[in-house]
Amino acid sequence: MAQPGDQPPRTNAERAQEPDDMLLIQRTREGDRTAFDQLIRRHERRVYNLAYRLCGNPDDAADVAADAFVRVYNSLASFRGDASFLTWIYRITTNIYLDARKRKRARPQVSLDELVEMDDSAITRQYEDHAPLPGEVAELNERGRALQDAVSRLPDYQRVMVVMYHVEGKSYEEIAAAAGLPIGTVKSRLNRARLALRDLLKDQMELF
Amino acid sequence: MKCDRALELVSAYCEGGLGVALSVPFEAHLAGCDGCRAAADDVARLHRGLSALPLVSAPDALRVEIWRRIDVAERPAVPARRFVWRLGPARIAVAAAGAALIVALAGRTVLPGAFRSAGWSHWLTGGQTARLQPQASGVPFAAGAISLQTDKAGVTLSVPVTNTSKSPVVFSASVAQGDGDDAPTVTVPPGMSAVLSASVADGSNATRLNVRWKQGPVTGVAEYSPRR
Ligand SMILES: [Zn+2]
Repeated sequence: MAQPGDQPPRTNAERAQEPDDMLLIQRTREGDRTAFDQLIRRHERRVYNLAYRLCGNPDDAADVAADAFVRVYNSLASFRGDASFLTWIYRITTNIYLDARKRKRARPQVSLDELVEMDDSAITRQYEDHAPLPGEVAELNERGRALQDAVSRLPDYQRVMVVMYHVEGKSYEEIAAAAGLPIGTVKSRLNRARLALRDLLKDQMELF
Repeated sequence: MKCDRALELVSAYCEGGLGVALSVPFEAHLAGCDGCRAAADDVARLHRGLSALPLVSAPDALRVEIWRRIDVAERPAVPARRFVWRLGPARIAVAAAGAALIVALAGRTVLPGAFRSAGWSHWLTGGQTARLQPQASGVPFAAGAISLQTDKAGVTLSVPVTNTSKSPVVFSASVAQGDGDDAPTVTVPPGMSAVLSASVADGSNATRLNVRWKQGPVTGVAEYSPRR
């Protein structure tokens, strides 16, 4: 799905010169680390983008995206190529995100990190003049920011579906297959998610 | 058609996926119901907005961080070190610290940039450095670039310091949330240098490098904090 901010499409000549993902995977299995580096370069933006849309902040997104590539690296032996490499790493990214959420819920106490953030407002202010972290430039417009904030407030099961549909560009059928749910359930959950977003954004609908 | 049913169908309607059998009663309901018409309009706009969210760029350091994690996972385990001190010139003056009164807090320096300790993802990855700067006037030392090494045990941040004043300075460095009061100290004579290092275990919540210094009764802290 073409999206604003997408990288310019590669020309056919460029594409022809590039080894495809399967070849790079094969070379990585044979111990060629530059091949995996090429895979990272090729897919890191989309993987990070997916993680960012799920997590809603650049730090957690980078953490999830990095772990996703590490897990992919460690399980390349089991990759059969039934789905595309991107589909595979998308699924791994989503699972890592959900695992991290589960761990967080299991330890609900306020972490030291949060305490530090609270008394660091003076420090934070000093950084306003610096270039923002790369992920923070993502939401250039108010609309994107409002939408991402609202998505981040959805319960996980709705958030994951919204991201699969609207960010990964998966069809209802593909989501149903990936989630092991009837297609009707996927459709009604997504409909409810959109109505929930409308509720969350009710004071900002003029942005859309 | 009732409102509940109409609201169940708004997404399908926006996507043109409502068959004739449903779209006729649906549209008839919208014609007479302001609430559902507004909902259908809003959902259509949200639908477009969600699909038009821009593809955000990955941080430059992501690739480096991925390789760091792969390397850490592949490296054999080594015993954890807590603190590491490497002193520059061999001659070290006797510490003159004692229980002197702390009368002033000077030179609280906040530094740009970030480092990563596990559980966080702030970026100062292998090969990158950040400078402890600038020195407030009256601060008795100059600091060089902060470097970061990772190993199985965690993260070690190192910073070279040079005593630019005319009397000894006692330093300690810690990677910690709190005071780092238990960090070992090192006394650097005038004109001498030392490399201060502090390690933190992978998985720690530590978020900053603190360089504490003390010269006679005057103390200060230079902080190197992750950017939020
Ligand atoms: Zn109605």
